[in-house]
Amino acid sequence: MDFISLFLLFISFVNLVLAFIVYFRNQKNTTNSSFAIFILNASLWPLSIAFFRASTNIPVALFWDRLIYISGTLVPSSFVYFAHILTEKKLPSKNQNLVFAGIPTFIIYLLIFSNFFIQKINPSPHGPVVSLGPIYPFWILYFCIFFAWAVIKLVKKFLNSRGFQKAQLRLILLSVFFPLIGALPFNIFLPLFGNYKYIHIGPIFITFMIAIISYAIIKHRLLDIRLIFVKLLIYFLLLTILAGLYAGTFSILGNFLMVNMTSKQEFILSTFLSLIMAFSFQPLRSYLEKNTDEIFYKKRYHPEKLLKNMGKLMSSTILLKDLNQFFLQKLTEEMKISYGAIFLKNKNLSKKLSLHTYPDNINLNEKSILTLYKSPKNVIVLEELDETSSKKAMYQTQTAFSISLKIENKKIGLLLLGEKSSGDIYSSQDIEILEILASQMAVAIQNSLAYYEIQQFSETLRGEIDKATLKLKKANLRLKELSSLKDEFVSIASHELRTPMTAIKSYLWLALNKHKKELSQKLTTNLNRAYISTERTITLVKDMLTISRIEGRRLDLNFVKLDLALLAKQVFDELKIKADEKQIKFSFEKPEFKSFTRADEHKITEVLQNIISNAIKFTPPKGSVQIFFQDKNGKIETSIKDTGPGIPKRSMPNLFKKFGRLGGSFAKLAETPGTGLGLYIAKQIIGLHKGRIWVQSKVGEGSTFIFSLPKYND
Amino acid sequence: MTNLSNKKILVVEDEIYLRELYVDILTEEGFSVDQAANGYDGYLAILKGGYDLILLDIMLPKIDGLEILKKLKNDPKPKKANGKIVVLTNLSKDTAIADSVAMGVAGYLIKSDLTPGEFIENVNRFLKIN
Repeated sequence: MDFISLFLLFISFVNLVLAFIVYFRNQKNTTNSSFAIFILNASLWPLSIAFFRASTNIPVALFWDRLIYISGTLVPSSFVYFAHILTEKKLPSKNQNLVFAGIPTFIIYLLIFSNFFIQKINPSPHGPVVSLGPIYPFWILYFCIFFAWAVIKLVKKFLNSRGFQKAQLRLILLSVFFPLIGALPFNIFLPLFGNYKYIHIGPIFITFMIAIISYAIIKHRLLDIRLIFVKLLIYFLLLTILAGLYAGTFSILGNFLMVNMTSKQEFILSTFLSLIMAFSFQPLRSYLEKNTDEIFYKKRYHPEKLLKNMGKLMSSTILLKDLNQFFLQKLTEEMKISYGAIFLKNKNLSKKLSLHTYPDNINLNEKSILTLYKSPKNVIVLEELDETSSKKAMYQTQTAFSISLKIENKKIGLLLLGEKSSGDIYSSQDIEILEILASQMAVAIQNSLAYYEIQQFSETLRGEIDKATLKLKKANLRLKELSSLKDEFVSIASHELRTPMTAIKSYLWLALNKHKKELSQKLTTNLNRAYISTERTITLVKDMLTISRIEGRRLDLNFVKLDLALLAKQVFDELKIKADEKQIKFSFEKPEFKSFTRADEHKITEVLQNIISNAIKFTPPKGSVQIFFQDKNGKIETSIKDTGPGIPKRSMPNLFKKFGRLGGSFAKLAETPGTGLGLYIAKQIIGLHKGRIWVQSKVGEGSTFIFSLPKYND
Repeated sequence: MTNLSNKKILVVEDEIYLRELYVDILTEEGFSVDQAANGYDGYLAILKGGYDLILLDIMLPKIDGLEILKKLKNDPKPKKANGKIVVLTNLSKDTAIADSVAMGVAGYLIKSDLTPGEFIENVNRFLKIN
């Protein structure tokens, strides 16, 4: 066998390997299997030519020659078959199958069982020479028609396709073009004129086909076998390099070193070399892989890294808008995809949120998206689709890949991806990774939506609270206004009431005290009662004003350091006349300690006046009223003790209260007439001084009113 | 008492019954009494001057008592010098009184707290301190 024949055998072998890889990589894919059949037939051609050229006797040469034409018959028909499946994406119909398979079967039948095709074989110095029969020209016609048929199909498809598909078809057309230009002149037309010299040239052109198809596989992921193909290539290179190195080293060593070595030394050296080989295998392999990756993949993404990074991104982003943005940006950048979009079908969300694209200026037809959404398929890859509404929708949205986002088997949306910038199709590895990412993303979206809802809820809540607070603030302001108005009204009313009361009081006093005629006893009594009532009214009006101020917290207290005993003495002196009038034993005991306190002079005076005058008022003539002081734990206790009628126990609780209705009945709170509001005011004032007021009393014996105020030591 | 009887007193009070009451009892005491029924007339009378004591109400029509006190602080002095000004009011001890005290009045009298007798006593007290 000469070198050309060996080379043809090698080509045949490589074709065979290619056919097996394509077939076993994806057995279910009809495109792959039809291509494998085509390549298998094509590999038969150089094989049979090689053996035909090497044939030494006529029957053997006839056998191989028949095989040449069987292969030559099957190649165009399997090419049409492949072209049909590639362009139509479906198996041929029965009638089409009859044409694709029937015609070649008939030809092969004629070829084997008649001599209409191969008439005779004669030996010659250049090898066997075949004289061809009358059918041969028709066979050429068949060959050309079938080949043209396939090419037309592919060209048609080529013109109607875009992107990577176009690139793939261009390469397929280019790859079959080379063997054809080799085969047509040397293997088909020259033999027609009896020239058999150059039949080996056609098959040599198959090397171009293999090279182009390999390129298409690697570069454009033709038939999705790139990964295994590249790996095979790496191993092939690796073995070649290692074998070369090993052989080279041994030949060098053998020539220079091992000349005088014993077999034992040789054994040690070769063991040492084997160890070096064994350890250098892995680093060399990774070095090669890295380099081939750079050549073939152009910074291909690293699946594990991508998953890790995307996982990190998804778990660290909570706002839906950011999540979508970051996810799509990272994914499209890493996988080199023209665009990405996330579509969410959620009634609770506003329309604005339901579609997010990256880059964000992509306009997607919503109707088409909904068509894809309604598809029962989980993963839709453009290349795998038949002509369906989904495919149309994908073309409209320029989507190459669509995957459902699912939560517990419930579809919540879609992840749509455009074509890869490289023109590659989505490989099974891509799809696997995208499936993982889509399920992670669905969970991330769900989390984000839950967060969004909570946030919305809390925002609504905050809004409601703000509203309510505003209302309360307004109400409060209004209340303050009202209170201020009330205060002003009470103040003015008090003044307006007191003016006529002063007139009444004064004229009554004049009638009682400055009269020229003697008044009758009855008139004097009557005028006196009118006068006392007027005084009571004036006090009441004054008290009401004071209470209004205390309760409105508008009582201005002017705190100064003062001597409480001195203040009490002044009041004692003022009221001495009244006590004397009733022949009451009125006594004041000066304290033996310093009785300074911090207080409002007027207010405390009022309290003293009130309590002492009450004591005088309720003590019968010849009774006694005592004022004395005690120092109790840093507090000054001022006591006013009288020998009045005493206060019944049941009246005690209401003593320091405002007058009003008792328990809903019209029974008066204060049973002792004339107490009015004085004690209530006294309690309030003492309270404002951080003091306390209380009473000790026994009916029939008298009462002691005591109030305590904090001592003030500079 | 005789040395007090030639004293001139101005009563500025809007409430007629009270004004006439004060005028009556002061006249009866032998004082020479002028009266004003509103703040404006009162102010004019004060500017004319010559009073030994001025009894000034705070809540008055036209110009209130505090305003009069304020004007008197800034305006040119009355033609004839006046004596003390005492505030006569029914506004019980509150800011209005504190303000008037701050503006230099000699004292204040709470109308409703006083009987006519006590009123005369207080008037005499203010005149004596002079």
